Amino acid sequence: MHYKNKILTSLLIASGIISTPLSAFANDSSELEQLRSLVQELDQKVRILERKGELGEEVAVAEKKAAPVIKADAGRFGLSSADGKNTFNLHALVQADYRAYDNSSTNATGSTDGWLIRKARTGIDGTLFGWVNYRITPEFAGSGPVLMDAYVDLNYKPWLKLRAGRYKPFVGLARLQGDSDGKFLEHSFVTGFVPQRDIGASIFGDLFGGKLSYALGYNNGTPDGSGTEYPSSEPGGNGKEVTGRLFAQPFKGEDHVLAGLGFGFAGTTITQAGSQTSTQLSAYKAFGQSNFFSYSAASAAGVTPATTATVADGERTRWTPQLYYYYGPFGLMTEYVHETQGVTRSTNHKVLSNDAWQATFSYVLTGEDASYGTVNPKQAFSPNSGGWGAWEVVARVNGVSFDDNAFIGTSATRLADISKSAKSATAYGAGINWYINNYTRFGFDYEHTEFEGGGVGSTANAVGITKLVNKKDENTVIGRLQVAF
Amino acid sequence: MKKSLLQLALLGTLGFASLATSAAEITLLNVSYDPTRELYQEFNAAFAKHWLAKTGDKVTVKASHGGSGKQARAIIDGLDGDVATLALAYDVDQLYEKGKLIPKDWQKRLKNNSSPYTSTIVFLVRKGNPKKIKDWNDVVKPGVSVITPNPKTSGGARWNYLAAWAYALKNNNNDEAKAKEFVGKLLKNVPVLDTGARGSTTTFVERGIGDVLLAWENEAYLALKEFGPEKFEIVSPSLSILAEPPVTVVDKVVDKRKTRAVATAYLEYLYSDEGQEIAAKNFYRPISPAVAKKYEKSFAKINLITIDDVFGGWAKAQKTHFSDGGTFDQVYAK
Repeated sequence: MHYKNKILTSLLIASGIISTPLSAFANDSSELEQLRSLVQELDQKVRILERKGELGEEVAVAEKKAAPVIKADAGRFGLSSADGKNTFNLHALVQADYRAYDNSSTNATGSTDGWLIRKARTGIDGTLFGWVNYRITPEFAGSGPVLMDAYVDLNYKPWLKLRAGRYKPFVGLARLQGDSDGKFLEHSFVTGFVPQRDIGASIFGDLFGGKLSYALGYNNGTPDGSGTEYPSSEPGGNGKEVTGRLFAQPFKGEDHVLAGLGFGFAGTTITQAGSQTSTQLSAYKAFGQSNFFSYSAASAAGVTPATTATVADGERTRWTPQLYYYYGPFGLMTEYVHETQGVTRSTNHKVLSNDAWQATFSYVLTGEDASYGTVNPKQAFSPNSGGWGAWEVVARVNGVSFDDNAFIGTSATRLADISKSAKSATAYGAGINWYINNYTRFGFDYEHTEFEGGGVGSTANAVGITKLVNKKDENTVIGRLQVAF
Repeated sequence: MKKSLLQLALLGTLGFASLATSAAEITLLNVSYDPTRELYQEFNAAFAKHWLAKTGDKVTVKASHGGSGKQARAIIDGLDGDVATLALAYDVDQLYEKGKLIPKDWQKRLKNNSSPYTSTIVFLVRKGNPKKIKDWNDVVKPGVSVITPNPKTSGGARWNYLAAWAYALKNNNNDEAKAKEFVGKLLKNVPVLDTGARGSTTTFVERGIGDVLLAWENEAYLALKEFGPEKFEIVSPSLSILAEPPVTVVDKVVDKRKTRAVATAYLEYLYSDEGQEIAAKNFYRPISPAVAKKYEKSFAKINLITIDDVFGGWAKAQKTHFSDGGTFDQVYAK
């Protein structure tokens, strides 16, 4: 500051403002005094201006700290209050698929090769007051707009949170993954048995620093793999579905070879009463999304003798042990589901036991860490800078088995038609994922599915299965370009 | 077998007991006003030592400083201050009024209306007092450049403003209009309004702006101590105001953080002999008669009016002078 004042004085002298009067009136002390006062006055003005500038900068810094933050970098679009306690984020998920099927036989899937918009979602999520989270996600792909997620989380404590609305019930391990994070482009048979979305409420939380997670839900209840819930107003006096899940990651956060290990157990139970207009039962799809098992439908109008559809009737329970393990670039996810489902067709009431399982292996060739979430490439693919993104190979084996009782009975009482529905299926898949950047991914999968039964010529009577003709193997290739943020 | 079980139980009990009695590490946040940095730096260290000796627990006291009004708002907006040590009772009152963070009668919880030390407002002038500033009427003269912070954000500035107002009332037969005119003249002489008292000290002492700094007494002495009597002088006006900076535990915060006991002890220690000595050494007027006697030569004898006597208390003074549209807005806008 003193240096600046000296400069100021020197400048004044150099410019002649001071030197001229000094030379002309060197002996006039009053003039000199006036000039001294003038310099002091100017000096004060300069100091005041500088100080005001400093204060202005302080105010600007303070205002900047308090100003809302706009995020508009790659893959992140949103607003946040300065303290981060209030946020509003935009999200999008687009999956553009090309699917090719082996239709060389009359017994093949019958699906048509071609392009498909598998998912097209935009949504918002955010936080209010630092502890209230919300999410709304509509789906535009398929038959029309559908509300996928609409829920509110009250994050009272890490160990005590409440979620209410439409959400993924805390049950299936693969189902609970992010919708863009699955290693394969379609889910395994296991996910076909657990609820997709439901309306209800769950309490959940993390204990011991996230080493143990729990969730307990009370929801309307949905058929297997479905997001169509049945509210209590539905005729038939349906109950509500109770879900529970415990999941442990005992070495989470530790520098340990098992740090990426997680295992747990989930279950659901509900008492259902489907109707002829709402059977509350699902069909089951193979990798190519063709149905390979369906419960019997009602006969078409005018067909005699008229037959009724199979409906959910009684208790349905699911038990699903689950495990994942990630170590460096290697990943394993495996889960099993056992379901008992009460069903009735005409006079035939049975409690069916169905099972499914899957094991998915992954390995990131470019060395990035595998995880339950997505793979973030160390270097995004860039034609200009030479990055190649992250490359991952995946393999999966999964299977499903339906209760023999589903096929036994007369044409009027048989719960499922064995000439159209397979008794069991096993699938083997392999694929490659190219994570172009953190938000863009290309995937290419092939899966081969073998069926037991389900082919024309399979027969059963009122006491047992008499002949099995296997449905033709399904060979499906799916390629997908995906953007998710 | 029974003996082994008994031994196991005893070992477990001992282990649990040793865990239960192990020393705790505690942190406190003291949200304070601008010029108390040096005071609480010394006091916090003394209290930590005292608390360690008394309980075996290690306590670390962090401090946040700023304009008193701003600091009160920060606590209301969520700053987890275990204790508030602000410039004036009105700002502490806001913790009850706006946030219900403390009880209404918070001031009754500690001695001397929860003010463990007092201070007043004096003038800091440049060596030789070139503008011959002796009293408030010199401060309002044309050509005198006065440094004082903004009363909207600074507790010290509100004390300055009211001291000037009280002086004008006294010398104009309690004529409020003349007092307002007097303070208006004073504000016209202010080239820079800082947000806090420490900022004004920086403006005057380090940036070399102004002829006189209206300052907390402790702040003026601190400047004198740091920069030497060859640069500055303290002038005590004929009349000033008794400033009683209050302290309180912030109940909602200490209950949430489970620090009530140590936070209360922290404030009570301000009243101890050591606390009072530290206050006096940092140029705050101690309320302990013994310590006040010991340091009486350190503080000038000034005719001090009180906020209650002249202004009817802080609530009334705030509403009349510093709320939106109050006398400050009226005279400063002119």
